[in-house]
Amino acid sequence: MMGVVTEPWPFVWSAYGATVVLIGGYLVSLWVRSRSTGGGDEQA
Amino acid sequence: MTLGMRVSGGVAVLLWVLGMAAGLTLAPPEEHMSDLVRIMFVHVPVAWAAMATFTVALVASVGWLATHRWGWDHLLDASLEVGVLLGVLLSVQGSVWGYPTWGTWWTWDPRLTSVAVMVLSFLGILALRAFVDEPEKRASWSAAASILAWGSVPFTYFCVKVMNSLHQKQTPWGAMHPDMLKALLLNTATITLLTVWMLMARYQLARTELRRELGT
Repeated sequence: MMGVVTEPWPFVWSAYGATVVLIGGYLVSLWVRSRSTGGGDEQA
Repeated sequence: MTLGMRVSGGVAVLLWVLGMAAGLTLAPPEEHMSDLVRIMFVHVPVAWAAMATFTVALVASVGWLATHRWGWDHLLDASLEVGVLLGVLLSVQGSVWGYPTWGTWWTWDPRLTSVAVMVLSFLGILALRAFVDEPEKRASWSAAASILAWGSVPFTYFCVKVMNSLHQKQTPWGAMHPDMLKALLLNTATITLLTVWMLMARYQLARTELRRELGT
């Protein structure tokens, strides 16, 4: 049951885009923080 | 980050992108929602991953309080951050899906409200960790708070079954088109893999940060 919008693709792309931006951004932040601390190169 | 982590991270990202491509192309449009149903292939796996990650936070909290071994606190640190990321993403995806189907970006529906309470609770615990300087107190206070906050996870899952919610109930697997089911399972597997990788990478970072903090 469609609501006020009949063209679905802008919403589909927005949802997938938000997924890529948020997870991609977090992956980049992990990489940057890991490089700045030298994190994880040593073994437990 | 070790070479093994970099390679496994690259593989996880590649599989995640392939999973999303399958969600955009493999499954057919749904009868009532047409192509909007494709949002389900990223929304449902992220919901699963967020709730599973908050459950990891619960296990880590109990582990820390029972043993006071730092590994549990590193896992708690990692699961709080990754869980909040997934929870925020879940809310954004749901809002984008809600507007064309319900006619509103947000409503105080039981499911939406319980997700907001869940995400804000764990976000608050992340803030608590940022403001407590003493590592032992930080670990114990955030572990106790996480056990309390975890109560919002089963409530969020079950509220659509027992309350009058605008949000649809879980669709039985057998009622789904086989290609939709394939796309959903593929995306669930790939986001789970990527979540495990993010937890491992964040765990390593937490371990390094604590060693620097303690000067060991």
